Amino acid sequence: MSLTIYGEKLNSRLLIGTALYPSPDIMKQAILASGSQVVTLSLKRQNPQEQSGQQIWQYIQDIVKQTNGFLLPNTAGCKTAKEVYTLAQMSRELFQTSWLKLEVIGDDYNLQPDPIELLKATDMLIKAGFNVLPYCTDDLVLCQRLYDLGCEVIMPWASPIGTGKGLMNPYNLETIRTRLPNATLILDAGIGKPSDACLAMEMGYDGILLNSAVALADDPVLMARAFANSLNSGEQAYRAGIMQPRQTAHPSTPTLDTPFWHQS
Amino acid sequence: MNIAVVGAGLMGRLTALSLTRQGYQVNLFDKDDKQAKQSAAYAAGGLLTPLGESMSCEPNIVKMGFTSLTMWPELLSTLDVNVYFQQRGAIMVSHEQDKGDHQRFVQHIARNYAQHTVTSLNKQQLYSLEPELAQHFNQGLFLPDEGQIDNRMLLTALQHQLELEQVNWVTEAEVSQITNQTTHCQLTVNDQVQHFDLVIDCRGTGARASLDPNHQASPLDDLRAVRGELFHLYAPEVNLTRPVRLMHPRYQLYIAPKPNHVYLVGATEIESDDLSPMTVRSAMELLSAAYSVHSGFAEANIRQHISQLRPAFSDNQPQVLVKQRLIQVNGLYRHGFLISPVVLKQVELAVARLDKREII
Repeated sequence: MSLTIYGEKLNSRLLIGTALYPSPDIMKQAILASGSQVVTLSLKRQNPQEQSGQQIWQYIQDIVKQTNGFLLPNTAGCKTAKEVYTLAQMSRELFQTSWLKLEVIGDDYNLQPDPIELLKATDMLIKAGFNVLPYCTDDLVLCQRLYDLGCEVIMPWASPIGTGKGLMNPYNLETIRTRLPNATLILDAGIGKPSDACLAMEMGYDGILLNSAVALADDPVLMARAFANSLNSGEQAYRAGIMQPRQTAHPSTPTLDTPFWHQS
Repeated sequence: MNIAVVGAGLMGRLTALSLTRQGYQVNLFDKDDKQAKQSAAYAAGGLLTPLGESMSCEPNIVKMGFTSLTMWPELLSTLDVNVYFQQRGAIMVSHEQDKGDHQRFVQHIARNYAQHTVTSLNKQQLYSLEPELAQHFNQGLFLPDEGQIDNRMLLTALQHQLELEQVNWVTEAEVSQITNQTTHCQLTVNDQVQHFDLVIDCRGTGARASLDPNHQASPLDDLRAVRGELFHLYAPEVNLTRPVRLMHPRYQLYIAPKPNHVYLVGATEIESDDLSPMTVRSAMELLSAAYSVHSGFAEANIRQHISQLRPAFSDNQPQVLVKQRLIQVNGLYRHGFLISPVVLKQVELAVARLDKREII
């Protein structure tokens, strides 16, 4: 039932972002309603040298405290390993956590991760003692390389950030799950609706990280609850063992006494 | 009643003028000179577009916005100086790749604001309203009731009016402390203590400065700053007459045409109290967005790049807090011009209530 990330046991398999909500208060209510215990936070644009985002960071940290959870700073907005490294050091100092959601963007329009810089950055950060949660594309070999570098958690995308397009390539995602049975796999980005999240959990993914799908809903708090439910459904279904589809109909009620006369 | 209004931004000026006209003795204090260059109102876009804002604010703000739209003309008619005010609707456009956001907006209005008119425009209809927009866009939305005001012209007009009506306006006045008591309120201005029957603090993010370090919990503890950046462009090749909003997955981008080919292009929204100049990233995003709406912006002159802080509470709602002899007006966030006439009414009511208590 619980999810373990870098040795920390969590009661929820949902990881949630803090951007795009109508107000900080609604963000807070949505996070609490989601049950999530891992809350991401960005610092790149808040002039972290001057700690100009202090107030919103404190607000988010207070929410995290309330959930008995963990803060997951991210490197959103970074494009090179070098840039990431500086920001990561700042983040560790500011938030007293070695957890880092590693984002290295390679393309401006669809915000696709740059796999080459990502591997470089992961290597540097792991050597510097960070617990890296890399956001990556759904490429099996890339995920394997990240795992080999020492990432216990790997976070392939469902589809580009904020698109809400859901699982673009279920085959790839399933392959990653099958081939990396011991990695903690969290589907990150592109989730649009609770059924997307449920689908990934049914595949055996360990968790879901999302933001827009909740923040941009008409009622973010209600949507947060809907996601919590869908993750539970998917996870329970995976553990329960899903039946295999069959070609021919099998009645679930014995039909020995049903006459067939109406099928001419 | 002897009243001190602290902060001569938009709310401070409106409040000082209204209370003077009601016969109160009003003293206006501000750390700046009379041009209000440090105020959020000076930096603002002056959009009066309640539906345009509706995706990211609660319904009461939209309602206040529509009510304020009906109040502005009357308010402006009491000023000696003419202020540019326009209510000819606003236009919303989106690029092909952001169609999802466009759709989301249409659905949002249909679901929550069905009583308001929003018209879908095809290329020809778009052409008839704003011919130059039809060069880049095949469709758009028309929000016929939206408007805009020239924010800086209004601040100047209010300055003129306050001078005309002989309000005691103390400039370069640093208010370091406000001590609220049951019978009066004490103000420390440039290290001198002064007493007033009532203090109205309209300073926005600046109000945090006079919080007593040993104070008990104050509602202003929750006040934060949200950084916004925008451009003033002079674009003689661009002829747009109405505010244009560009659906954008990351920002609420608008182009507000002001008189004489001046266009305001804004605004970023960053959870930060950093007042340093605009960043290159923001500049590129804002300008490329403007250029994508109209290629005539390529040869525009950048007259100003502005960064300023919006004051907001954690629910992003404005507040008029009354406690003993102190009224705190704050948290107007990105909606200062949109809702200030309604907020002013609330301040007037609060003052009237306090005044009656004194008479009794």
